[in-house]
Amino acid sequence: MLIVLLRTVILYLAVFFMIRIMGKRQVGEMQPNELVIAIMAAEIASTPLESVDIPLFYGLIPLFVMFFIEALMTFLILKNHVSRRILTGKPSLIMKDGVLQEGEMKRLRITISDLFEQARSHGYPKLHELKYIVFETNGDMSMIPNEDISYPVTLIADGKRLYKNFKDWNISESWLNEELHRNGISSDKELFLAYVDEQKLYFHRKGH
Amino acid sequence: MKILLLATILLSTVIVGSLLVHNYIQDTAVGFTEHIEEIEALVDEEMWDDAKKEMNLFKKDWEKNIKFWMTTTGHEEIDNIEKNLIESYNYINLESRESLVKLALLKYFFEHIYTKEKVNLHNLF
Repeated sequence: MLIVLLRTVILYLAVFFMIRIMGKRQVGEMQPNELVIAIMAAEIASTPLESVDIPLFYGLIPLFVMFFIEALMTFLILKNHVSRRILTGKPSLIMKDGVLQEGEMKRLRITISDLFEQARSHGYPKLHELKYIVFETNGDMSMIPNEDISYPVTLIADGKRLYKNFKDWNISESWLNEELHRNGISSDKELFLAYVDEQKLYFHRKGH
Repeated sequence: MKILLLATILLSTVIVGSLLVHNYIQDTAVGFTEHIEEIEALVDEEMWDDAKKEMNLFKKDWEKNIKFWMTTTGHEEIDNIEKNLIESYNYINLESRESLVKLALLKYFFEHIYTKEKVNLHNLF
């Protein structure tokens, strides 16, 4: 039975990383860990059903193991920014300020026809009506039209600064420090979330 | 957090349970193989009365364990043991030396059960 347990862990991780490597196109409105459960759970549960020669435990043990891994992954996704990046990936901007990001589209293997298809299904048949297109971690695309003139950028999540966003969006840390000081926040750790929109800082404190 | 705690308790129970089951299966299987070796020696020396007596004891001992083994071991393995046990039992009652072949097979199937459950790379992959 220990072999069944260890084999479940190996196969779960193999399927999970395969899905992560394949990218968001394959995910389809689920997080990678949720998709792995959807793929594997039904198959595992049906194994002892198909044959009375297989003890029920051979189906139950993998389910318990997957329940544990799923709970652990959800915990890591919620609690830690780095593990969240590794386990679920990060949203990708494929249109920024009305400009298509060709390199990002190639990396994500999104074709022009995929893009038009998604834009049409979101009610934007004309790409020039859009300012931002975000490819979300669950494989969905979010479309932000021109009239919504800004794109909120997260600067602090779970009390930690997202330095890449500062660099990508040309935001100065000293500006953030001044804003925090002006609002009576002495440490980043006091904040659950802080983001900037139209050069204004919005934040949510921890503990609510 | 509560779900993670529940999942951890559940997994710990599964791990501890698996270890206990694995040890129990190994101990009983080793006991059975040792008993088969004793019967083999008696058959080899053609001490049929003693061999029949030991075989009866072995059968009773197996019947006590079979229910637990069925819940934790592949039923195909159990069927192999049962088949060879019946054949060994009857060959011994007929006082036939062919029972040695069946006893060797019976021993192999008992050994196979615990070797296939051992945690090693060969069994994992």
